[in-house]
Amino acid sequence: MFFVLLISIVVYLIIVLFMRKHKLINKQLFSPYLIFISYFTILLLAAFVYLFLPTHNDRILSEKEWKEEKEARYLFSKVNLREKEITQLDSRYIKKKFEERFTGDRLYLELETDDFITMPVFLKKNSDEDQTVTAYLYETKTIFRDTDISDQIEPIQFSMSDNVLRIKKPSKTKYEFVQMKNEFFINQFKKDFVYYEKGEFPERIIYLQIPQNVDLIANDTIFNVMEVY
Amino acid sequence: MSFNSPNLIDVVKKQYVYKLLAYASSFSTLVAIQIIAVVFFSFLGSGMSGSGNFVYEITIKYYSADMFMIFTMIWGLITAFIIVSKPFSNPDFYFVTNRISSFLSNLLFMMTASIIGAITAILSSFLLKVMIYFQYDSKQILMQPSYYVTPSEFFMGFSASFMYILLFFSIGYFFGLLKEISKLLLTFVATLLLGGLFTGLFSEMNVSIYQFFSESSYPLFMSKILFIVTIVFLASFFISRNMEVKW
Repeated sequence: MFFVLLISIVVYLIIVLFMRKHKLINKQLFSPYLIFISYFTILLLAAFVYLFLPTHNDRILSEKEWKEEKEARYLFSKVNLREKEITQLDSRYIKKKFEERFTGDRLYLELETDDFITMPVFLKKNSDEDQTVTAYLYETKTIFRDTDISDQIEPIQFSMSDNVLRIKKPSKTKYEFVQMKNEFFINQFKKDFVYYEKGEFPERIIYLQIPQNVDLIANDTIFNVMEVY
Repeated sequence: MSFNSPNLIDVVKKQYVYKLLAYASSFSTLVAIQIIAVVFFSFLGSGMSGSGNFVYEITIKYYSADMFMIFTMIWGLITAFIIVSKPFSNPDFYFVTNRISSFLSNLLFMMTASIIGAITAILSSFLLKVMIYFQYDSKQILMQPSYYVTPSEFFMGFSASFMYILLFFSIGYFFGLLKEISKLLLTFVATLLLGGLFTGLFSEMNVSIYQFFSESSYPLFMSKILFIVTIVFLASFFISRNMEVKW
């Protein structure tokens, strides 16, 4: 970037000196060189402004972060499909936590948004006299074009009223992004150039902790409830 | 008889400065062309793609300053074609001149214009980025992971863009000279090329041309393009040398 600016400034100065030498400045208001130098000035200013714009380039996953993400996804599938051991998941994957006191003996689990994806729910009954219902949402990153866009994706919400715990999945949401690409004459020689970047939708697990004396009632076609001890 | 024996370098220098002043309108044309490129093409995006599942629908719009470069190359082609036309080339003979000095000063002008074209095309990409930043939320803007270029990669890109523009200048200059020799010859060559292009006659050749220029090795690319530019300019020089003498 600084290299671009340096070369541009040198060329800009050469043009201005040329214009001064040949008395092209102030000759006429809309002379071709004045139009050109004004445009060049705007381009240079744009390059300076660009220097101070937020780029959020820290969202692009490094190789190390990709490796960690793959490991997390492997762990999610392992927990989900085979070992059913939620404690293997690190607390850093907790995206949402919901906690509320519950005194009833039957808790209904409902999904507020209709879709056709079965949601894995891990259920653990509190070992003590704790009368709290706690719901955790474990989630991996949402990655699009090698960029972590998790913070822009609407999360799952929990709510409880009477004896119903509702899970509200965001309804089909449209997200729009724009991507800046390098020009073809730069990409042509770039060694790390990749045209198709990677992306991953998030892996999710819901973990419920309910009081010992409470029965959880959930629709089997929507929830895959697995009790853990 | 004159007591001054004109030196070729001095004559070329004078003609070069004269051309920078006389062809100034070509630079304001460059401004107009790049503004057209940003308003009508680059700012509308260079492509779109999307993906999704039951929950998400993600669309992405791509932006790049490729159009600035393509328009700048077309500008080079047309400018070179025009500067060899009679109204533009006749003033050369106000100076003590010959075809060599005229050709060399034109070459220097085209090289200067190519440098300016390459710099403005690269700088205009920043103008596009700034405009996009003001149109979208900054979090909506994704950067290509390979977006960040090292100084050496930038230098390679800059010199390649300069060579691309110079190549188009050389082609425009060549066709401009062909037109000066015979309009019929130019019509024949242009019909052959355009006809071949649209009828698919040269489809294999188009692929070869694309492969020829999409060389990823910088030294090889520069050698190839320099070779082509030299050949085209040499051909132009030989054509111009055999043109009628002016008094």
